[in-house]
Amino acid sequence: MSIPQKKVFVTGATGFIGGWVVEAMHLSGLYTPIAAVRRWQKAVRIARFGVEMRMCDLMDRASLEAAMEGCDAVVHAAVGDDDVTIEGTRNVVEIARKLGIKRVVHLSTISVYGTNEGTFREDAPLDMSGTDYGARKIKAEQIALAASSDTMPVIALRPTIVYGPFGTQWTINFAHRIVSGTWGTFGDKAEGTCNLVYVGDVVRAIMCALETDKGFGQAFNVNGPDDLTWNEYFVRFARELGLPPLGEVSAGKTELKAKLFSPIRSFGKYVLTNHRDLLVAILKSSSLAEKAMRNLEDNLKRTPTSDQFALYGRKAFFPNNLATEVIGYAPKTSADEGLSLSVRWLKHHSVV
Amino acid sequence: MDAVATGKLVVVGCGAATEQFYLPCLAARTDLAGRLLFMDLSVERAQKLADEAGGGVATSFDDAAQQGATAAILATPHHVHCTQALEAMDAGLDLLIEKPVTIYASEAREISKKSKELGRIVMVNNTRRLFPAYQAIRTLIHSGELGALRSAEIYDGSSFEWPTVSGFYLTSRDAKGVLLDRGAHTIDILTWWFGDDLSIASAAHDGFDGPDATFHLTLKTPNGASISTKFSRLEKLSNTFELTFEHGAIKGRLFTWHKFEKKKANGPWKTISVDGFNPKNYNDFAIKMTNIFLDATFNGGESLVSPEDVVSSIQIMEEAYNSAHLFELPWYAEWEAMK
Repeated sequence: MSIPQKKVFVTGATGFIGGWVVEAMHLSGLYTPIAAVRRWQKAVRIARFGVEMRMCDLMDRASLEAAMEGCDAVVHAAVGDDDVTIEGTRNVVEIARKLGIKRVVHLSTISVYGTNEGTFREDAPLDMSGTDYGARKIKAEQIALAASSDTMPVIALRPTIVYGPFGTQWTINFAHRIVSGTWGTFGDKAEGTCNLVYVGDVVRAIMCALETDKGFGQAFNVNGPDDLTWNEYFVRFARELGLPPLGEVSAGKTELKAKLFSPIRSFGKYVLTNHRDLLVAILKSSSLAEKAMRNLEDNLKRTPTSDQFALYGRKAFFPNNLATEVIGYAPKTSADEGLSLSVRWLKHHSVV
Repeated sequence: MDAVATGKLVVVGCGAATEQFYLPCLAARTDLAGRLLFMDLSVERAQKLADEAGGGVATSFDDAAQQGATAAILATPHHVHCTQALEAMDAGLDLLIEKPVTIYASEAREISKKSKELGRIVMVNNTRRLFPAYQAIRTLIHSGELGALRSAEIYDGSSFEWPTVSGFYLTSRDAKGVLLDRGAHTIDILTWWFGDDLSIASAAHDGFDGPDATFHLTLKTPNGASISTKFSRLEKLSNTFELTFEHGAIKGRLFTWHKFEKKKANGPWKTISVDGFNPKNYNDFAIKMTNIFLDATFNGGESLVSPEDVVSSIQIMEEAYNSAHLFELPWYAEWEAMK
């Protein structure tokens, strides 16, 4: 007699980590993922697996309730602006409780610890003054954990720097930078702790949190097995890409460039938000403007923001001993293995 | 004095293609005022578009014909094109069918056969055939100036932004995937340039149990030249083509429709600008194709791109799907191994 698989509702299923949760659950056959989809266009990746997709909006309680109906557990990986991150989380846990869902795993982040240096175990104070993203994730995590009960245990996971196939921020963007030839190591400025964790290990932690009978109402760091600096990450990434060894580039110049580009990024964001159609019309009418825009876009992609540059130098470590002890999480993918898989993926998709 | 056409046009399928491509064209034509009908599985949706465009609603092709329709645009999911096209022709309608005309070559042939038997005009919306650069390249290839093809590489991909209303492209196995979507244009252009006798050398995709998002298809010409194509809905590819011939080469960007680059033997690359229709917007080609159809069906103008014209590309894609294997995707291996 076969045991029915748990139906797991995955929010953020069209994103990097949520997408991986859906794919791994389907491929392993360990769970039946039910993917929450807000826009069909974003579902191309998970659609390849023929998984069940349910249209809903985290901010529309009726659609969310209909979509979560009949599920045994929830992996809440969705993130967005203040409303979606905070009120969306409230909607998810309240509806989960109403529907009698038996487990919620909430994806939080190490950004809840702020931007200071040091070793941050789970009992470290949360810091609202770090980043806007961190502040809203603190609120979301608090809402999620406060909803934990005997009948609906909630566990929060705080992944570190998550990289791997389909990852934009720490994988695709760095690949572009390294391949551009303008990227390198940055001396002391990038000797901070990288805290890399392969996305497959994050999925493993999520599955541990779905199965554990301990750690309810608690949050756990989810880090990888290696202790690398950012410089080492860049060097290994370049090596895996088959490029010559990275040289040291001027941290001062890059930092200055990051500062100079800051207002350009803000202006670009404003134009894209408020005058997108006009911008598209201009670009279509002038090949010169299109070329200039492409150059600027490439330059922006290759240049870290000031915040990112500060991160590369930051000596902060997030041990996951507690996750190992309580929920049985153990990272399996070394940086070399994870980078090898990432680069094979990048090449397969002609990203590099 | 020319007779004024009075037949109605029924637009079948009131989703994204109709809203994005057809409505702007139809709304701009004053001669169609009061001559539009809309038909959809969702009567509410048909009524909504009818209200917007000042038209009526039809519930079937026969109903449309009884209301005076003599032509139809099929903007429905491709797996229903054949059945609908046959019904529409039986009801007396000429047709413009959204690409891909069908999933299977036998269906395209059936439509073609019936159109000839009944004397109906049937066109397919393979808009890239209207690109002046593509037309000039075809002429150049057929002139023999550059000799036989040695090899070709085409990259066609961007993240999927089609505002599908039904989700058909992502939820139905009949959608097949990116090859039948983007390939319906690119493979058609390849057969248009290099002839119908292209065979499949290799085909691989990433559709596990659903529509694929990446497809790599290598074709061979009768003289052994290799044509490598890569399609993606996940990532933006270079969207370029490069064709190498015995005595020169051609390269260009897929969506730069008014120019390409050419070189002879070891000479330098030269930009070739092509006169002709050069709109700012890709959608304008769909509008132009629609106008060609309307002129053909209502005013006796010349029609373009029949199902017969594209059947070889449909055949190639059908065979590609039949013979394709799943890519080796090592990043999924550990999860697959658990099953």
